[in-house]
Amino acid sequence: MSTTDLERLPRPDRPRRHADPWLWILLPTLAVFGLIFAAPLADLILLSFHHMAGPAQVDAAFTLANYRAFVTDPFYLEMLLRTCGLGMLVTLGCLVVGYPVAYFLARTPSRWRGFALFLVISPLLVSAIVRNIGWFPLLSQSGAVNWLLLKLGLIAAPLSLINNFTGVVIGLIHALLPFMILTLTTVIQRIEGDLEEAAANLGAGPLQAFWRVLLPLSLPGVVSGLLLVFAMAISAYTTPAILGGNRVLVMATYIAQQFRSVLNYPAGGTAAALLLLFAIVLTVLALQVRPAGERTP
Amino acid sequence: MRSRVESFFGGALFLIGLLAGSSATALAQSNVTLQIGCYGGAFTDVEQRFVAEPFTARTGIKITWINGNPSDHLAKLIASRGRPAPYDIVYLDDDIEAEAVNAGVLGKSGADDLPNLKFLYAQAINKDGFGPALNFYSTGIAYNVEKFKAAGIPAPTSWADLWNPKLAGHVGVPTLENTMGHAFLVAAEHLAGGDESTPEKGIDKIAQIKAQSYPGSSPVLDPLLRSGDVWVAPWLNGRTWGLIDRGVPLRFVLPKEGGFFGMTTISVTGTTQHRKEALAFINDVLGPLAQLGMASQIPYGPTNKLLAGILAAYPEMAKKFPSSPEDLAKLKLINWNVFHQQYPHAVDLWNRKIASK
Repeated sequence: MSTTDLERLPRPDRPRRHADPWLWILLPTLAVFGLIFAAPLADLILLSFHHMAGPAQVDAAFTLANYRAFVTDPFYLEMLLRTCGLGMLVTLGCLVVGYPVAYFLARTPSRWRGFALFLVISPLLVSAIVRNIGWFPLLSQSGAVNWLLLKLGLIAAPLSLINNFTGVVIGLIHALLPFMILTLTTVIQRIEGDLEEAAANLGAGPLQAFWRVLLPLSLPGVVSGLLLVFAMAISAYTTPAILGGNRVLVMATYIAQQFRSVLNYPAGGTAAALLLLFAIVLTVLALQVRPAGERTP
Repeated sequence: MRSRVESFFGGALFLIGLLAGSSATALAQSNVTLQIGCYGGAFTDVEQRFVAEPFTARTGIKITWINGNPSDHLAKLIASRGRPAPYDIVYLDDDIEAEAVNAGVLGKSGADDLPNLKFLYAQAINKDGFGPALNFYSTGIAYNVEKFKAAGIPAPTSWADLWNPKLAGHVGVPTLENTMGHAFLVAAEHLAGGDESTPEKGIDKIAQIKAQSYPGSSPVLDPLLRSGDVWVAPWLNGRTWGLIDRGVPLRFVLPKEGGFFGMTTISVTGTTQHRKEALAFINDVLGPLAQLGMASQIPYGPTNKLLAGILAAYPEMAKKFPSSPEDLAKLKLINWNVFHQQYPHAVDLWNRKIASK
């Protein structure tokens, strides 16, 4: 609301002087980010424009060969697609599982709401390693889930739920669900409950009210949630490394392998730069989505 | 158990007194602090207790441990070239040490610098005069006795037994990013009629195994061996015995082709400002007190020959690691220089043929 009001102000009349104090306030944050985040990242990306000259070393000559090798080799493109596919599945999973939970949290008057919210953020309170290793007793072939399904006679042989792509998807949905739920809860809370009642009074069923009223109005929240989860899913390392059984080579595990094991900094830097570029492009595209009815300025 | 360990130390006391006494006069009290790159966890604890504390008490030289992954230590040493090194001493696995030597970041240490060097087994001494090994471990085959019996599979005696079709879906194959994975690649290369210079043969061979998964580290394989999801895996003596001691029905065997040596080396860095003090510390690490202390706490075999007799008197402890000349004869050394030349190529083949199939 406030942004659209500001956008409508005639630009030349905008008091320029008033923006400056904000810049000063931002300066410490920008300096810290620049120093501990942007500068090392730039250094890392610079490595990708050189040839490897032995372990952990690069030569002086500038080259684009690493990028050429990456984009012309189907193996790497497949890896990029696999990463992207993983991100989309996880994001979709989080949306489907998270939306009803977020709706409940936003609308419930229950005194258990605080406890439910705590349950939602609880995966964030456990270290990533413990959270991932914790899936083994549940999902492994001799684990609780397979034991139950076998006892109930629903399956004849244990399912492979871990050490493969399925395991990574399950682990990432669990890890990233809080981000989706918290984002959606905030947005749904801001939508007046009266609107749903009005829709019901005008004859809309619950599904229609959701589809025609709630979903379009919560779209900005959905998009930020999707974006947040997708960006975190395509850059996740620990979960693919532990639950993928090293069968799921994604960009993040490849980058870690090249930097930490092969000590091939140019190859790792190239993949890191491309993953970053990919994430930036997607973010810019996703930010074009506006809630229904609002025009882009 | 405790009294047994104590009497065990008592039995070795005269030997230790003899050697420690001779070097005690070598250095006057000093206020130097040595920066030492090590692994962390139980390993650093043992070195702190059996080497650093008595060393500091005797010489006044203080120790600061910088714990981390050995390849991270190597990366830091390479990054600091041309400036004083961030470490005076660094503990590295022998495979990483070979890379560090090639990168020119380590200093040499000969028999004149290290009086204890003459007591070490030949396999522990670096032929080019770089840091020697302070312990031996081995890569062999860990297997679940109960699962093998239930499936009617005979106990493994060869690396080739891991390709048994009856084991399909139950083999834990370590990735190329750890010591066991390195050794297993060499084992596969040999089975396929090649050697360290032909990773394509080894990778093609490994790709034929129907793996349960490809564990990248021990904390990932441990629960799989414990739950029985993995029946067999190329693995380390120490990690396997850790599980056996907790009641997991495993056994550790060295295949008839030979298991592979693993060792922890200790080196002085090339640009240390405290070479003399660093060498005095390393000499203590190679001494019998430190090595016996380590062997009593974590399953690594001493490289000091003087301990063979004592270890033979304690078979319950000594069976967990390479502890005698006969044990060492069952292990093969890997040509790390050739291995590392091929390593980026090997990882690339692994990524294409195994990690993303």
